[in-house]
Amino acid sequence: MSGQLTPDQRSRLIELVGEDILQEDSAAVERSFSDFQQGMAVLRADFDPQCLRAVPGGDEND
Amino acid sequence: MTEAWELGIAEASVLLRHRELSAAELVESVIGRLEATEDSVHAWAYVDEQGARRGALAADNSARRGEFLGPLHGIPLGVKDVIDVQGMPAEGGSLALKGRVASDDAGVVRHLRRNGGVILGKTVTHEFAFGQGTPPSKNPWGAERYAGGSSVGSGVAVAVGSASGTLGTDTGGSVRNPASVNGLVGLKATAGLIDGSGVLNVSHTLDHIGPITRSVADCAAMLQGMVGPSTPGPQEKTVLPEAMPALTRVAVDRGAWAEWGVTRDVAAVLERAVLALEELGVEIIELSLPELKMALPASLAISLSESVEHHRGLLGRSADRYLQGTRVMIETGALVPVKDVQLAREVRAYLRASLRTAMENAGIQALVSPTLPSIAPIEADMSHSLTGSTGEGSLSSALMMLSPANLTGLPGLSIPCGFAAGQPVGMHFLGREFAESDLLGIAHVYEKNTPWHAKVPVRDIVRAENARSACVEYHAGRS
Repeated sequence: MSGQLTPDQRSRLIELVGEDILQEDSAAVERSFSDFQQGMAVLRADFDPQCLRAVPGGDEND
Repeated sequence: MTEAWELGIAEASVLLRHRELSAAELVESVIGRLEATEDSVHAWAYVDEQGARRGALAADNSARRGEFLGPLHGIPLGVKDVIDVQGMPAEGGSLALKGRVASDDAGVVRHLRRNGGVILGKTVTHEFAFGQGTPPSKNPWGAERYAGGSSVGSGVAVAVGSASGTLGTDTGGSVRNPASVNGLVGLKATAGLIDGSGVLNVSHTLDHIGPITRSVADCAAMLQGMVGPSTPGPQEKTVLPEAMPALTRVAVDRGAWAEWGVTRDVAAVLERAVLALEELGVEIIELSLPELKMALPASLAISLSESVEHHRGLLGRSADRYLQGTRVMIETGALVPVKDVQLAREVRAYLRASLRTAMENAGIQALVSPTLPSIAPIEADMSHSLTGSTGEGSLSSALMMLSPANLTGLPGLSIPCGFAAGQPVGMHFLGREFAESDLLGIAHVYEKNTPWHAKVPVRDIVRAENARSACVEYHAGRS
């Protein structure tokens, strides 16, 4: 997780907010997304999809 | 002598029905309190005094005919400014929507009116309910402290008495968070119980609308007035017990408190509250649920990614009028990979099922914890990043504790349970699906046997020197 936006990511964000705004926000977005990815890495380590099959589920809010 | 603005919804309702108080008197008293406090606390984005007076007059005319519309008849209420009220500004706390006026009531506001509620105005919100920036609303327990969010104005207004009750929205705790820091009751009901139409969404999966009130009885009255005729789940009116129901059992997970970074002073207040529950007849068990720590990253993956589509159009036109902090959260959402969202939804399904099973197997009505890991931090020292470190005083640490209720859709109720360093501390109940009445019942008996609910409304507010300049700076996008 280098933190720097890839060309594809930059392109997606330019489509969302425009190039000028992205220039202003890019450092903060890189930090925020890096933090988010750290949280997801922990989640992937913690969560075993096998667990889904071990508990009953399925109702209107699922 | 008690002034009308000091009355709770339940108390005022009794007086209104007995014609010992008129809606006009109540609304006028609350308006007076609003005018006396607003320069100090800035809870309101928009106030419609004339509309409220007309609503009160209509309520009194009905009352004279013996017609009471419902539990909120004649009660002046505030609505968070991400929820539409017909004819009122609906700006979501953002310059990007400056001048927008709602053409229709949100579904929940229709229900409030159907049940007799008088809408006084719109309360201040963090921009689009993302919790970023520093709105002008001031914590009445300490003007330099975080006043809660994102339903910040809704919490402050009820705390100082400029509304009898308010609506907020809660995607990651934004009803329960301001309730806790202001010494109030805040409920995030079961997903789907409250009509979510007419709201500026953060996340259609995780957004919930909830009441903020000064007592559990008021909360029950608000909840009854917020649900519509086609609401799923149990429909019967909540009857609050006078004594703790037999076989009431709740669980605590003290290991999680340590992991969540709950401070010693908050933990001490909670231990006294748990002891009080035990003395009232509640059986307390220890139940370890380590899986709950998965809730925060999963809920962020879902909420941030969903926020992109809710804001794509407006960002395309007015990105420069958003606060940078809000934009960065949505931009982060645009980068969340599809596989992460898929994983988050699997975690959501897993946690819903595992919590249901764990609570059934343990025979508990609720999992009890502090609402927030620390007392309200000094606002200037606080980190507002949703994705950042969950260190003490950060918004992320608050989300960590409150997001399981949003992710799973289970009800979460926060009530005041004491003070630490002069600041309110909240106790949180995570309950079973559609079992709000269980939570309200336990909380009501606790409240009746403790002094905390009587500490609000806050009567002596410390004036903030820079309240006016803070208001102007926020809207100039400098926060």
